[in-house]
Amino acid sequence: MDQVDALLATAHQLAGRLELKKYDISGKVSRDVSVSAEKGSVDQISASDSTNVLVRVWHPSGAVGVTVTSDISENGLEAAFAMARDVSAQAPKEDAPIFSPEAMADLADVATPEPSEPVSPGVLVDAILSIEDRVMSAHPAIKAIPYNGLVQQAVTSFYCHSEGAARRKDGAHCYVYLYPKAEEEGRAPRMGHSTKLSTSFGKLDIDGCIEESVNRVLSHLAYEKIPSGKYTTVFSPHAILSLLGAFSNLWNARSILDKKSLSKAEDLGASIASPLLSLSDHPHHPKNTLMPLFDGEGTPTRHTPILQAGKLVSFLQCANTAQAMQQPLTGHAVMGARVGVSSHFLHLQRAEGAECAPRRLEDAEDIVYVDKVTALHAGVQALQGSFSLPFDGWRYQGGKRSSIEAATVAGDILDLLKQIVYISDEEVVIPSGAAADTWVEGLSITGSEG
Amino acid sequence: MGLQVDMQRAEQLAAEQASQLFGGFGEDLRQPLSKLLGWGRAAGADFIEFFLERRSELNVSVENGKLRSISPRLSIGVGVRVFRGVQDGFVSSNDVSWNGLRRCLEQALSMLGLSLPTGPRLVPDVVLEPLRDYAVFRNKEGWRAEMPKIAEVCASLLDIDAAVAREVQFRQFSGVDAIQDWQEVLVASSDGVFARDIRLHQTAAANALCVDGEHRIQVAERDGNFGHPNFLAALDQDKIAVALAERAGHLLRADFVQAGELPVVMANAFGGVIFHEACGHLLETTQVEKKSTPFWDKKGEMIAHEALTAWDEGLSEGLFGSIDMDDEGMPGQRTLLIEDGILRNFLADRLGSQKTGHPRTGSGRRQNHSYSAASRMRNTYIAPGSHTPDDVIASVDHGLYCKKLGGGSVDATGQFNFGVAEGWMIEGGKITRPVKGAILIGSASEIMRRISMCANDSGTSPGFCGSVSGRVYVTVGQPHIRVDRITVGGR
Repeated sequence: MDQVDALLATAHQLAGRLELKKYDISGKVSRDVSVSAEKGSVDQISASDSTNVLVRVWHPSGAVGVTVTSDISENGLEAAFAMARDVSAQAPKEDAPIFSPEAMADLADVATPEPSEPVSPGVLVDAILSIEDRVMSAHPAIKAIPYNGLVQQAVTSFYCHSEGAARRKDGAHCYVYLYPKAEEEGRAPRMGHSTKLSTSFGKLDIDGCIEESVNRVLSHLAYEKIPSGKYTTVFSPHAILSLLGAFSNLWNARSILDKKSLSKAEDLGASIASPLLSLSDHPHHPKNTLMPLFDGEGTPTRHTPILQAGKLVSFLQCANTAQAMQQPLTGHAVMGARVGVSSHFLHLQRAEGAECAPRRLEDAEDIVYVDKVTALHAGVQALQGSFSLPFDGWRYQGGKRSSIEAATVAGDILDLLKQIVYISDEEVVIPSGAAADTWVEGLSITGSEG
Repeated sequence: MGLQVDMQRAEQLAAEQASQLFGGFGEDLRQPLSKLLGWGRAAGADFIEFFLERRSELNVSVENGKLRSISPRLSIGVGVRVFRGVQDGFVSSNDVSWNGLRRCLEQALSMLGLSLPTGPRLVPDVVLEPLRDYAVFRNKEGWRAEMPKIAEVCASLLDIDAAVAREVQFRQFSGVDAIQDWQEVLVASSDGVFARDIRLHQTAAANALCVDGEHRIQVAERDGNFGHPNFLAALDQDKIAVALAERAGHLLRADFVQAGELPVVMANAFGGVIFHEACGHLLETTQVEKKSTPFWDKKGEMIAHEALTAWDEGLSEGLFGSIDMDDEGMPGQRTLLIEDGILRNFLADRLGSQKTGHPRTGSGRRQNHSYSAASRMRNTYIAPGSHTPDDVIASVDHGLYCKKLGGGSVDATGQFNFGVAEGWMIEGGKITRPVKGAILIGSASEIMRRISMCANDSGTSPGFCGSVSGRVYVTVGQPHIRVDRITVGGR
């Protein structure tokens, strides 16, 4: 019996001893090892074994008490159940959580990789030192990699309830991230970035991560000021997915029911974006490394179209919201004191059959390419719909590309969605989703040139 | 040196004492930890540190006049850090049993190519200082009993939400969230440190979304406190509600700010986030050791306008970033960062001090046991100057008045940004009309030289800071200041 099985067995015994009639248990057990390098030496090696368990106990009135604990000793679990039971007597009855009607349904029949054997910390150390050396040697202007790391994680997710649901998924993944900094005499320092994720160390695209991060930082060395004004703006896959993630209240059923959304329940079927745009949540996308099979409530995950040719076709749901909206479950529950909703792997594409003239960056007269938006926590007003965000990117003028000095891109998300004029064919996969370059007309760019 | 005993017997004894651990952190842990620290030294480590943590958090949420959720969180864990020279290994676990502690030490040692001594040999314990117990010195043991019960917290938040509903016009949504965060920590390290503390942070945030046709605005207000158990039951509901109502009223139909380079006046209190982001992070040895701050070699040099003096400290009563000891067991300190524009000190944790040579400042902080400590800010503020706030505003002919700032960040190139939660135009030396949608961006090394006026109205505000060692409680602060020129992003 491994740690998770032992934990669940203890939990069920305790629930019996405490005479709890209706309860559920969910959580994660993870084991991580991470390494980073600094100027030829190991900066730090760290490892962690962590457990997070959430227990919910139903009061006879229907209210639900919740407690989270990292103490999985018998005493710790008992304290968590006892606290959840006490809280259930004071918790709100309205909108109380329910068991997912699909918590015992069959999971999707998709091939998920068997968790690979982890490599030793020594292998990770050798790799990160070699990676640092290769990046630092790539160009004399690269002075440091302030943020770098190689991380190996094994995660077991589980969900079970008092009526017999029992879900478990064992997964493993590995990722590398590099943020090299380059500096030239008399010029401001510049940074590049890249992150790659895979199911194992052996499959990790380390060469790609080095190449991308180096190319990015070097491309930003020769930067120029940009005059403020309205520009056609192209968002990289990373940038557009970051932005859509920040405004996910548009299709989040929990946010909509709580009136914390730019959408309303009756907007289903409305055109809110350019007919070129299709967006779905695609947890089983073949290139989604994490590939969750069930959500926090044990509901099977599935492909969920969100926008089709610009039309809002479904919201992301958990059990409570689906019941309240009388919509099908989508498998997007995130456990917490209140069950939340979140996407797994957003997939942005040009709508099937949508026709538009192809555009190329190299042919553009004067456009801005936003490679990475930053400071989303400061620059996004998610409930107002507005954003004003610093970014790293380039200006394309008649085939010439030049890096942009400090600048911001600003607009309104609902306007932006309608102003999409082109989505390229070349799909790029990043850890949080898949997308293509997305062209938007008429966004405000503020540069330091005034 | 401690008692020398056979390893096997030592393990039995230590395990027996560690089994008492769940009663709380204290003297019972002296022998097991002395033993493990001694084993770490015998293995060849230069320094070993155990950080044990127990935590009890309560999150309560109220929305639109109704209780939405009550969420307690209980956690326990240990972080073990081992140094060999300036290289370190760090292991964390939720298992604080004797076997768990031993396993963590063993794993951290193995990361540095070391292993626990084996066989029947005598290993000296590390002699720990008499327990430095800030929970006892400062009468914190009773805090848990004095904190309001769940029902009282819920009632207080419902009252605030009701006040917001009364005061705020065009309200589509309103909510209040509160956090009670009680933490007990114990640090034992091979240099003899043996110290315990209890911390209690409480915070409440109210927010409202107002909608009138096409006009939408979200406003928020937060208050927070360290060490006053009754804080959540004693919140001033009317003050919070009126502040939200005024801001929403001003901003609902406000125009978006016109982008460009402008002189800016930042209001006191939370305006201090500019110094936190644009300069404070760059004075942490975490950045100095990587030379990822433009100030890494500027100690003793003019890095800011001569009008600027700034402090970081952990000693102020009740402030969010106050700490009686840091997470490496060092007592709280007060650190002069910049004096009349000259860089005087950096903020250093143990490793940062070892790597850079700058003295430790009691700034080793971490979110919890799963992070190793790093140099972090505590209560950070710009000192008051001689001007009145009106003088500062009157000095600007055409610029932006940032009455309330939002969050911000700084990257390793020194580029910073922060959002403006409530902005007003200054025209002809007077505050005229509200504007929304502004974000300020710039370079830290440049902006510090452009803070040319400081008023005499210091204020502080609680906040959260996320960085390399996780999210920690901080205070930002300043008087009204003038920044001669900054890029204002908008439409």
